[in-house]
Amino acid sequence: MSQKAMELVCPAGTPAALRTAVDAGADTIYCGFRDQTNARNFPGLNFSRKEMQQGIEYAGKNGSKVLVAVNTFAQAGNMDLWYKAIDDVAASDAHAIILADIGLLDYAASKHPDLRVHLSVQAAAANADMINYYAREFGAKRVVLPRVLTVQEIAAINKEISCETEVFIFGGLCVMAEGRCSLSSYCTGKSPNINGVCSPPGSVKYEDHGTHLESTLEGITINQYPKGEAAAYPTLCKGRFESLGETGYVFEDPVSLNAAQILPQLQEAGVTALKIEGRQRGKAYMAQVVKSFRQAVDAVAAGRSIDLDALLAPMTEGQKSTKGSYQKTWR
Amino acid sequence: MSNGTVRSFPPIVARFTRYLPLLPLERLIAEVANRVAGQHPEFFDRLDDYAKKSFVIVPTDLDWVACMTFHNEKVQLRLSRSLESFPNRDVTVTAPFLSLVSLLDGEEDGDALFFSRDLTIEGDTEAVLALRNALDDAEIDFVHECSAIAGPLSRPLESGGKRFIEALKKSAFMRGAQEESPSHPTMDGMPGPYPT
Amino acid sequence: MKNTELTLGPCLFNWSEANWRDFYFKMADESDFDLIYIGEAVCSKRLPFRNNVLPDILERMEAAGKKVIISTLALVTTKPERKVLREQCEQDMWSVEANDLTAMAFLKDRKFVIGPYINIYNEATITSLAKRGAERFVMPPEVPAETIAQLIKAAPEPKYEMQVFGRLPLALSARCYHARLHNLHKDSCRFVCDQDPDGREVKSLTGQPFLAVNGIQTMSYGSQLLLEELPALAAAGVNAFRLSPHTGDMLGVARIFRSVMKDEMDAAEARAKIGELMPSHHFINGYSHGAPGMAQIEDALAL
Repeated sequence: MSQKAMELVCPAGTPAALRTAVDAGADTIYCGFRDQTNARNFPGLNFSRKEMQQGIEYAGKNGSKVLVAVNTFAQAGNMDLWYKAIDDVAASDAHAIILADIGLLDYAASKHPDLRVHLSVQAAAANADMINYYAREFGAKRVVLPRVLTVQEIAAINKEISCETEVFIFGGLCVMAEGRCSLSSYCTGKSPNINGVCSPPGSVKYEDHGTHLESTLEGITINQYPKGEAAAYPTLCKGRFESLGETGYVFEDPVSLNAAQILPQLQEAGVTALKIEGRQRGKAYMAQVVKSFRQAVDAVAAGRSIDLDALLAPMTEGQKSTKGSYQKTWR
Repeated sequence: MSNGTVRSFPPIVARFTRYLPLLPLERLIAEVANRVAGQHPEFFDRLDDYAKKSFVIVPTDLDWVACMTFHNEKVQLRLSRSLESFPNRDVTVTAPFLSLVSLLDGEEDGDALFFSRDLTIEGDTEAVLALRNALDDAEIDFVHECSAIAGPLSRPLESGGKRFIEALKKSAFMRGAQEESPSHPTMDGMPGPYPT
Repeated sequence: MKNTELTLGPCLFNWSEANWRDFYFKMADESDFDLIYIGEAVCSKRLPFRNNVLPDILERMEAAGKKVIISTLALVTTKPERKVLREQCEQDMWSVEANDLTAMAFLKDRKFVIGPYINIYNEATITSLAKRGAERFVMPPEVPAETIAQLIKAAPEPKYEMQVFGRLPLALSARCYHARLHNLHKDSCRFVCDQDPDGREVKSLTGQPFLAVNGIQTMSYGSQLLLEELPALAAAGVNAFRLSPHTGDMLGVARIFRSVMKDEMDAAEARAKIGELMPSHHFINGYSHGAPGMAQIEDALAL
């Protein structure tokens, strides 16, 4: 039995990464402008207006669509930077805009009623009532679901709503409800919601202590790696901490999300689009991940049984991954 | 992907490179770099303010270190036998030479190299990230660019060079770094696994 | 600061049914808060215990002439959670503090309070929500005082409230960290979060105090204490200062805040006295100064 394949939505931090993702078979690419309007505001990343237009053209020529993320929360007294970003997306040939901020959703709905709006995961719409509210009030056509739901819950949501859903299947995993986490600003003064960065590189230090490598964030020890153990970026919620004498990964192990195994269930649950995380990752990584998922998604749609493990082995070899909240035991 | 397959030159290569004359090498690499930069003006846009920083590259398996700067949209390169020659460096990136080349080509994932601890970073983490991202976007083909300055000989030089590097990467001649440090790189992306 | 209100936020910790009830009885009888928020904001599994005693508390509050607002869940996913929220929003006896935007779907044609778990960062969002009935905004902890001042200038209509005492709510998760620390699943958590009535400390591997775990919620290790900042905040137009309940003498803390707000006690004395009442608290004020939340900034707050 053959079904319509789920849409594969892939990240791009640079024009080169966009071309790589398109060539590797992405149906849709998401990216952002080079400023604090997008939640991956890292040095050297993202698109100028001109690069965005060229990227949209390149994608269009190859049958792919582009989504532009304007998914931080606008700063008081500086609304114009965000309004301008929305205006520019509306004037471009981008397929849709990804928004999280109520004020910006309101602006887009009233100023650009024809602009297709996707609700960012940063808006943390985690149930049918809220999703229907966003669809009704702001005309959201698709919702990126927060990574707090099980597959069963996603299926139930899809039965109750009229708009599309998109879920994360691979990459970095937020263990907290997205868009509602201030751990980064508590430690560094910079947050995803305000600055578009989490555990920002400017606050990161690595120190080799001989017996172990220590990673710190603004002076707070996030982890210590004995010699030979793989290091990780000191993302706050993936640190090793101590609580009442117990030491370990209190919030989450340094794992990444990999939902390849449950693609058939996600299709069954009525999910429209599958999202890969990682606008900050290089194009080498992107090419590999997108290519593998392209094959996996097509196979699932065609009802072919395929060895997902074998297909994704090159990406996950020796690495820890989790199905995250999609399986209930994660909680 | 070539995660964790990092290989180093054996010490004899380091001994050999010790006798390479640095000055002509400096000029050669700078010429290549500026050629590439000329073709990718957006490279400097991407580097933005981090173009003011100085980046020191330390190939762990060779006997020299390089210091790169990008002032006024021009790539400047200085080679030295010792890290001490660059006391005011903002960033030090340390990795086996071929890993650095793969990184430049976008063949190897910087995060994976970093997580497996084959690559280490000291100093301004933001600047490294900016350079990494700018390089990744520039789509540099290292051997192609090096060969290009050879004029009419560039084509045979390029294909020969590529075969040579590939052979080197696979060669038993190279020491596998894995055996010394059994590492399991994680894929927990660079900054911030929060999403769009 | 005489016109500025002093409010009591909802208790965020898993106190026993009896302790929770006694605490609010005491607040009804002895406190002089202008507003008291009551309700379980953190974990839906605690709700049945709250509901057992909530009617008695509300009655006592009413008898004492206290103004009460019902605080609602901050993370709403399951069917039962949605049902509870709907009922809370649709009752018409008490005002509601919405801590998740899901509440918007149920609060048609009602006035309500936007709690600190809803992302309020700019005037456009405030205007948009005010248009839909929001009349008071409790600011998210990470928003700097300077931004709040700017918001009040740009959108002066609604009331603005800020937490000035207690551990700060920083994050929510589908996962329960208390259960995880006890090697239990969330579904069979045995309510172990009741062992830490002020949250469970999380320190770095080098012993730096850092965070606190409260069920599915992650909080600051440090306890917010804004005293020196109060005059500047009131002058900027902040309408209400919120104390977040902890074990210990909350009435005493409230009295000290009230004295400072009436200019009857200076900030330094108040700080020393609150330190005596709450000896295990490590005080912070970073967020209000636009600094990392965990910082303690000694400079005066200029707005």
